Amino acid sequence: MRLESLFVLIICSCLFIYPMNSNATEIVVNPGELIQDAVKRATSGDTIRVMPGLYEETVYIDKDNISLIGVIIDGKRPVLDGTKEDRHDGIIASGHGVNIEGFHVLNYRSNGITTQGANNYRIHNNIVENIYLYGIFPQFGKNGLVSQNIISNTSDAGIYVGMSENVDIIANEVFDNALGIEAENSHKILIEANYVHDNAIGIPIVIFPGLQTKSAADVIVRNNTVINNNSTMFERSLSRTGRGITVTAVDRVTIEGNIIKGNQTCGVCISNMSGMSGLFPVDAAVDPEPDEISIARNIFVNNGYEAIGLEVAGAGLDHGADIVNFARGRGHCYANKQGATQLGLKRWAACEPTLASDGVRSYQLADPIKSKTLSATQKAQLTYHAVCSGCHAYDHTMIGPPMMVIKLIYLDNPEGLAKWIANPTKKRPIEQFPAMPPQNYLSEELRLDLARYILNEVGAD
Amino acid sequence: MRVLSVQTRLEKHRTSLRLTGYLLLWLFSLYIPSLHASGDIELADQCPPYFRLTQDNTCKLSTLYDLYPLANQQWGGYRVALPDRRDGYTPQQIDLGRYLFFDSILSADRDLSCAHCHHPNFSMSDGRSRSSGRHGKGTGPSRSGGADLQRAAPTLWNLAFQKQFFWDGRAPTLEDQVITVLTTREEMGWSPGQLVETLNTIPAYRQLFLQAFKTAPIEFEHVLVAIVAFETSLVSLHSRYDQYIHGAQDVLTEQEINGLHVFRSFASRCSQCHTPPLFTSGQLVTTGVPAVEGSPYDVGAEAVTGEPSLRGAFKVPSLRNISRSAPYMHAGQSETLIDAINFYNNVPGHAVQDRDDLTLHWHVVDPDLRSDEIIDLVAFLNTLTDETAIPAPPERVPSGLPVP
Repeated sequence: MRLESLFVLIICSCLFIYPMNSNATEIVVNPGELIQDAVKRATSGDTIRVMPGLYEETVYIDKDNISLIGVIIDGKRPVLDGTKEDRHDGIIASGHGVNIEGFHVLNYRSNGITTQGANNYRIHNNIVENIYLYGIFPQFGKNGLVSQNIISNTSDAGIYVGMSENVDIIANEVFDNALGIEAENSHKILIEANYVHDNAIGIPIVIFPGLQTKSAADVIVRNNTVINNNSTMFERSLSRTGRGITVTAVDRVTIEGNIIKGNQTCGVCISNMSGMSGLFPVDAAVDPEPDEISIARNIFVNNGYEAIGLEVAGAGLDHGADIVNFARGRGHCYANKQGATQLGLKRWAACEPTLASDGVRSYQLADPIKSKTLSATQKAQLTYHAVCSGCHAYDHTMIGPPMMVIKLIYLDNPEGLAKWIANPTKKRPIEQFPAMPPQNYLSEELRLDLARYILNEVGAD
Repeated sequence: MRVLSVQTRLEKHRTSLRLTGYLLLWLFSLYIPSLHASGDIELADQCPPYFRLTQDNTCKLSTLYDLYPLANQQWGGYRVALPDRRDGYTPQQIDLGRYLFFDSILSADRDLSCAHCHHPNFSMSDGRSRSSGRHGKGTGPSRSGGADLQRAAPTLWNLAFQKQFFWDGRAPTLEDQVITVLTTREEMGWSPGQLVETLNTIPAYRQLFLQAFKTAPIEFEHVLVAIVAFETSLVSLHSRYDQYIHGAQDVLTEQEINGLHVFRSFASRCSQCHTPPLFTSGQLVTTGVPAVEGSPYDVGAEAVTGEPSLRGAFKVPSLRNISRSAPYMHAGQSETLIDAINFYNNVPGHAVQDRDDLTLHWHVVDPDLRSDEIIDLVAFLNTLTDETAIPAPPERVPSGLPVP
């Protein structure tokens, strides 16, 4: 009996201790509380669970590895409401490794969910609607997943991937937006198994001039259902409506296995940057023609029965086609047996039986993208020069006192110095120097390493 | 017992060292050494703030941003590494550059130094709408008598990361930028040959270049290296904003955080061109800033590239230390930050006569910001101030000319 209890105790403590190793905790947020207060408390690895109810705030996550999960009970989700005029974004994440799922986000003036410079993100199972600009907007990030979200009524793009790499956009429903799923100046983007309907343009793949990134390539648009993208709901896209998938000057785009139906101007429109003239500046660093577009294994039904904004040499066309090409470029291919009506594809070659994209199951990386690996001492050395050296020299007074003096005071007491760094108090005999700001944003571990580095290494050579 | 007594002695020893430390601290706080107060000029053997001295006597920039992943050299973001930068100069080269920077010997008439338009008192700019060139007196807004230049002097923060220079982007390198200013008649009006010839007649400079480059006589290439070494040492990456991004959650006020949200909102789109961490995308952009009253419209990058769609395009300036570098725009068209924000918080093209001649950047939109949002945005922009690396003007320069 006693032995059994001991076993149970051991097993229980193992179960308990195992997840504690990462120090990850769970924070629960109930209606009436602020989600942001939980984010402020959270540290890397923590999970925030938000209970169903109404939350009127902007949630911003400027720290790494936070999981923000809306708990769905009996079909009810936590609702983030921007009340249209008041708030710009629903959720903004700049931290890496963020996970955002389970929310209903609506009525924001800018974006529903946006990541900015975050890598290794996951945006999953959210409902986003009635947003003034983009529903879900990852920008400047590598290695991300946007999956199984439902996005509608955004007056720009439902999902907009800007200047990004290695992103999978999988199995989302995107409808009643000006633009459905847009990839801009990005590389290695997989857009697969999405249901994209009733937008003005379904899936635009584009490169814009005048941005930091001067190329866009390797986009796979596969197994999507792209139908009836003829919306006239939004003024900004009225003159461009009726397009299923568009490619503007992007290289190596594979359009494969999609059902493309009922898009009135074109099922697929390929163009170069000349169509942008007047609206966008010419950027000498950007190649204006698309190269290596492959169109294979798609089902085309009844696209191009009208022609909104289609012109050849200044004259408007009276109808479009399943596939309309206005670009030159090289290396394009069209696989026969798709039965598509065509404009401008005469010079295209037949595709090979296998496509370069056939081996690509995902563009996400096997391992999360990481920082440069530095040893504790290297990290401390970097921090010393990146922070301390702004105000302290070794042997003379700058803004703060010399390090050789500080070393004498702390001698073999790195713990004391680390404590001081986190929370400096007035120590100088006279008021001659400005107060040192607390450096408590450096982790406890890093502060101790830094203190050791100061005592052992600074001025030692 | 014996061990104990050794420990006691050690402890006494420590206490006395600690007391010595406090005594020194007190002494140091009384005495701030003024370097090079007399005698020969000795170049610094230590790197400037935020640089680490390597074994081979070069200075490498250290920034906490390099603790983050670098996903792409071109991208911006918040917790991202900074792209490749120009560093690796020696402390001596950087310090020599400082002397040259403040020395009017660089101009034909010996009346204009770099620092006249890029002065520490004005966050390495001059506080003027448009800069004042040769034959002038003084620095900053009160400078008088100088040749009227067409544009404002930009600040010099974080140049180590920039890829094109001047408002119209016409210089692809800092060296080209220096040569252009040196040889422009209204500015320094000099030729490299004449400059080097003059420098070689000044014994103090011969000695300093020998210290910094180990060769004689002085070569023009080394003049450029020294000035660029100094310019690239001017970093501003440790503002309160940076501390917040590195994890100091309480360092920004609620108002400043609100301002950050307005700044990074896609409705306002500030951060699309003033992309963090450098707060510039480095791109040439037409925003529709009007001509200065009484002056013809400045076509900016169109004149450099011949590209009509770049008419009126200028390089996006960094917002680092922006609260310290009024007035704003390429010719001081906005007096204050509020003015500059109000310019963007309006119908695109509203301020220019020939709107149709311009290809305005598509990120110039009317964000329709409320006045409270504008006030918050200004509060946020004020968090981008960090002048800890501002250089000290030398007490005297080798030519003996007055230091601005």
